[in-house]
Amino acid sequence: MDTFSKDIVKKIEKQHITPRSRWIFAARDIGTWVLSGILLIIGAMVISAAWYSLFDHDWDVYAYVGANPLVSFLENVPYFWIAIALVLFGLVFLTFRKTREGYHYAAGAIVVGAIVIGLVAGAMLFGIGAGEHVERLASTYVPYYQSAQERQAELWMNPDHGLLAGTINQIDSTTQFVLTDLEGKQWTITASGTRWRSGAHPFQGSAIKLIGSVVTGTTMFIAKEIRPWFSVWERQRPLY
Amino acid sequence: MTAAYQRIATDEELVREALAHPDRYATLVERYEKKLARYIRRVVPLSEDDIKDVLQDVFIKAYQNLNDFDGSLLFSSWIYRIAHNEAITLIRKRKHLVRFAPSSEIDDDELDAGVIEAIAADDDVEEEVGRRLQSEQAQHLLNELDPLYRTVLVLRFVEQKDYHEISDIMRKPMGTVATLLYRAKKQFRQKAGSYQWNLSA
Repeated sequence: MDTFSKDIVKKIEKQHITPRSRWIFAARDIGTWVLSGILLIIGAMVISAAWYSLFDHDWDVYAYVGANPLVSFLENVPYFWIAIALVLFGLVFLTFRKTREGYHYAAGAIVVGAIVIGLVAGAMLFGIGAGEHVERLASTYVPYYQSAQERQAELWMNPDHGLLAGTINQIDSTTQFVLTDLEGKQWTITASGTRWRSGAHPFQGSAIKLIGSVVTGTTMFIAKEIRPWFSVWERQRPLY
Repeated sequence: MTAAYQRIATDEELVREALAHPDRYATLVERYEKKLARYIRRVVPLSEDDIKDVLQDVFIKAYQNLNDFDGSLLFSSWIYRIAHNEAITLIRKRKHLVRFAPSSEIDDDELDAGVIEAIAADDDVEEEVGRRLQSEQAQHLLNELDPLYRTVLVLRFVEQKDYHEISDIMRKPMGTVATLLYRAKKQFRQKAGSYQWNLSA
């Protein structure tokens, strides 16, 4: 034993230095993996909200208000969710790199892998309605966040361009009913030969979106097409 | 534990022994103290006393974390990683000192007659680069490099570590190690060129 190694051993014994327990390292390793997983799941939830914002949008009706499709698309890209997802995937990268084996993988491979998993898992979560819940949480708790509902309302409250939305509050006949729009105004709707999209039903309390035209100078609206306000994956609830 | 056993026991066996009997740790210390001292000396410009202190910290840390060594990598890579982390921490703390070259304390026998040659020989394009450089010049040149480049060159050409081991020591992907080595050699050649040493003779 040389002097230096003797000194080390002496120091260890004198200062009662002991190896840290195995469980501390196991807990650290498991904790890092769990944190990576949690961040990835949150990232997938955020992506599901982005999917919801994208899919729960009537992109086809922009033509009625004369908007440029590209501009309309760029205005409605869910930047908020994309930005949060990028931050989360960045954190996934950092925590994954801290795992025992994480450093073997190139940064690009980790980030791309996390994004692909996030997109797929996000799509699956969106499919079971998680996106809507996340989106609603944001609209409740995040200041200045314009919810998908608000954006839809902004788009559909354009009667002069043939777009209207509201709740049926009285059925007069098989082709006529009274609708209260999102601003509380009453409209008489004529629905003769109208196409009722799947999920839209002519009964009191039904929330709908209408494409048609206003009879000039009146509160009558001739509906060509009626869609349900809520998508198939959304739960029914009071409109606004 | 007999002297013969100490000689033939693997690092992994010695780790198991050291966990039960601290005095057995001395064998591991003896095995690595010179190598790690040489490594630290090459990457951080320190006095011999400071190097000894750093080395002591490295071995104490390694002992405290002995249960973290799980055999998924070589013990050698594992303990070099601890030394590397200590060295990097020191470099960050002593940024203003990194260009200081304690050439008087370099053991010429250890270095470096072959280092520059090795660096140059590893290069396909300029294989004659640096062949005529002397060991003091070699260390001086290394000290002129960015710390990360210096570290990777020392691991590759002084410590003779392969890419896989360097990847384990630096906790970087193999591709990144290759890129770092490429850039380090490039910077090395540039620095050598700026000294206008005779590289072609």
